[in-house]
Amino acid sequence: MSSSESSLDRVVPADWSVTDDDEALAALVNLVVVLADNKFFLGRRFSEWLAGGPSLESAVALAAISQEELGHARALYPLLEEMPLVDTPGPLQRGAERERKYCLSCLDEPWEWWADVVAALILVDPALTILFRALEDSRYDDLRQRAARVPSEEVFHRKYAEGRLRDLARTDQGRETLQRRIDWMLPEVLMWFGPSGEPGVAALKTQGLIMLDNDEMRDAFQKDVASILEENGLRAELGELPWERWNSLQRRVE
Amino acid sequence: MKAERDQEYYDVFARRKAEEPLEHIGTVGASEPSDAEVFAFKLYDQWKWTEQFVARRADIIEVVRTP
Repeated sequence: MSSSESSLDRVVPADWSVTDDDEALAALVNLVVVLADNKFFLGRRFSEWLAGGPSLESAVALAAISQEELGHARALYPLLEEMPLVDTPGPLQRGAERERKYCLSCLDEPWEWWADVVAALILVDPALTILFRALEDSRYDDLRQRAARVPSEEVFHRKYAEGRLRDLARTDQGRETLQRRIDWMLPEVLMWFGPSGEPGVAALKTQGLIMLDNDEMRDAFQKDVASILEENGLRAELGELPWERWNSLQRRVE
Repeated sequence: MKAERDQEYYDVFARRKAEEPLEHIGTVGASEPSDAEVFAFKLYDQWKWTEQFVARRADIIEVVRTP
């Protein structure tokens, strides 16, 4: 998480017990808004495909998943008001309330293909879940309690994702389309965990606010999705990640 | 391009309280048991069930059928 937001007043008041470390506090604010914005825009993007799903059942299930993603975002935004900082980013309700978004760039615009929905279900959603799992033992009670409910709901998201992946990947054409969308999303999702040894995440871990560092989260994610991709004839091959285009504050590729 | 595999029906059963009988609450079309589980859970969420099951209709053995 970035600690470079210059507009933040980083003096931690004595009565705020979560952390007394300025770097950890700035990273914590960034962590919350990044998680919330990604959940918000993931829910929004899913909601735009409710009429485009392949069957009634899959459309209704996607509607429920979309609602849950938006619900996770709504649960997180109030934490920003608790932070002892001025000028923390405000909550999103319609998506246009502030110019600076803290979401992956692949969530910016409505998706053109059903394969984008499936790729996001199998890549973006599990990446967010890895981070929520890394917060389950966080010393920050309010965040830990909100994070705790997410993985249990995500169990059904994952089953849904794997079914939709098998649907698409069963034909050469579907698999090729999906592979292109995975090739587009995967580098940014891997970068989303941050570069090795990122100071903000290191401060969060030292303070007991998160349990895994950047590389541990990225490894957990890769282990999590590798088998389902491989089982369906999909590749997770990557060249060099484009770190020169990485925005560490908004945690996205520019 | 058809974006789903072939589907078959699954019957959905549930009960609200342990002492209540299991009720047939509907059906879902799904191409594998895991999908049937997800679809049933998300479609039939009108109550907080204590138990919910899906059964592939083709696996249900008819004992009596009145024409």
